[in-house]
Amino acid sequence: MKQFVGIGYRKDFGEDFLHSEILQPSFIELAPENWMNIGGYWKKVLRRLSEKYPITAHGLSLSIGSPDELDWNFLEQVKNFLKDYDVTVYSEHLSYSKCDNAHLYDLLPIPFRFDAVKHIVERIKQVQDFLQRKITMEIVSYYTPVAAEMSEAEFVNEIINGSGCNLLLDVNNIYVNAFNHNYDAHKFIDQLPLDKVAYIHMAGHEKVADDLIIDTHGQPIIDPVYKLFEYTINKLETPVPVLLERDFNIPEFEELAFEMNKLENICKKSWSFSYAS
Amino acid sequence: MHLSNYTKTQQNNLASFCKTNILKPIDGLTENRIHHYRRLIYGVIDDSLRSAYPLTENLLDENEWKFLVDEFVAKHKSQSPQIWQMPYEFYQFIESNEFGAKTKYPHLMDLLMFEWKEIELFMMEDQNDNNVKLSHDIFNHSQIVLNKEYEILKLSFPVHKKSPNSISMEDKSTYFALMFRANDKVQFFDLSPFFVWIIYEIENNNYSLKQLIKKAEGANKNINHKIISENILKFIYTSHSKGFILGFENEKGENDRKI
Repeated sequence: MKQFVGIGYRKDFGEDFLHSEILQPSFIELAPENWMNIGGYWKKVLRRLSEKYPITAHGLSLSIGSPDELDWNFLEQVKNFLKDYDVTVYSEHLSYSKCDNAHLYDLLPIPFRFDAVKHIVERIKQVQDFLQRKITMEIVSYYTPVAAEMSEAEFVNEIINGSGCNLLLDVNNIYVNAFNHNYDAHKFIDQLPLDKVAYIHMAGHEKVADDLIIDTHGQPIIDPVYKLFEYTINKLETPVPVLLERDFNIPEFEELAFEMNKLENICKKSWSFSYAS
Repeated sequence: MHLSNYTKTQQNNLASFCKTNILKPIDGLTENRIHHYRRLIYGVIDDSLRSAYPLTENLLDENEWKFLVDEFVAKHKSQSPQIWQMPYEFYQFIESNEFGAKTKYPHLMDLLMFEWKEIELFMMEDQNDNNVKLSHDIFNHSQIVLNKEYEILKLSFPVHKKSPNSISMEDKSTYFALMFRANDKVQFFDLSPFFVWIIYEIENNNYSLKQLIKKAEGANKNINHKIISENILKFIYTSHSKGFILGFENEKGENDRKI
């Protein structure tokens, strides 16, 4: 069993995942939207998963940056899901996925603007009050800025510090954004409120043009992202859960295990040393 | 609400572009990259619909399929935060708008409904009471216990019996399809109106088999009683073996799931 590294469970893994000795994650992550209000086969699988592994939840439809109202009925269902499955971490995205009363089922970039900061800070506080827990917000990858009047790092800092929520650091997203927007990923990480990092995501991506990477979660993690990961976790004061995400081109479990082992070894090297010193 | 009208407009314009492919002004945009957002969103919705409606996708040619999905993405405001429920909104959207495909394929709405119901039943929350005591005593005081995870579809075309590509106007009639979830799978079979009535009677009157046969004989006096009882028995045994009838609950509370 891994100590630090979990994996995002995908239905493509099927029941084999439950019987596999290959992966041995320390926890699994689920998107509540795919598992709420269901019964039958997948409910049984969910029950068995929850009996075997601790669960973290990574939401898709909160749409914290949307101009639309928060969906309290949806949040009530999320709250029940978190309670029913004893979910330790509930994370979501600093983005919006619903606008003009329409769900879009993907993540759009929020304008880095002062009014957006106020809007999001207030909404995160409302959500945290409602769920009676801190939520953990992820810096998303983005391909174009929209009407920005502040830097991305300022935007993130203002929201995390203003709302009191935790930070999900998707190291691949930082790499992707640094490449796409031509900034230094290490310097960007240095500017973040690292004491608020409660969760880390790692994934692969796809380079679609000389100057553009798309965050696909469909490829293995590349070495520069592993290096950025090591750089990042060496800066954290305490260990946090680390997740491997793979949404497309799902490979054999052995390949996922290879990536998880690599991440686990980096964690052990960094965090065992910091414990000892 | 702290968001200014300016910021809201920027956000709305981006979302609107993703739906319609029509770009209204957005400040600071990297224009040669914005199409990726539309591509990604369109791909998520299209994949989800193709996965939900494989028979419909196969029936329509690629241009017909793309036209319906284009219209849906552009004009429909999806309400479900759970993407697995979104395909039902596609059904509703097609149903409530005029499309040439509905004329060309008169069985299109039946097919979409049939495919959606398979998903809905497969995913629906568990309905059956696991504490019901089931017995093999089927003839006497035992009430027939139906699997509650079912639906009877009334169809105008036999989309549950024939390949969608081979269905024509000549097939137009009234059909009933029983769909139910048992053993973690959705199963279906064709029903005659008589058995639709039988299921209704079981559902609403908590009959034992004996009472059910008596009721059916009383309601169908012109039909040989032997034929009625034989057909009902065959239906009951088949339904039980397939999991549509869970068993027979009796007053003694016996707990025996075999017959």
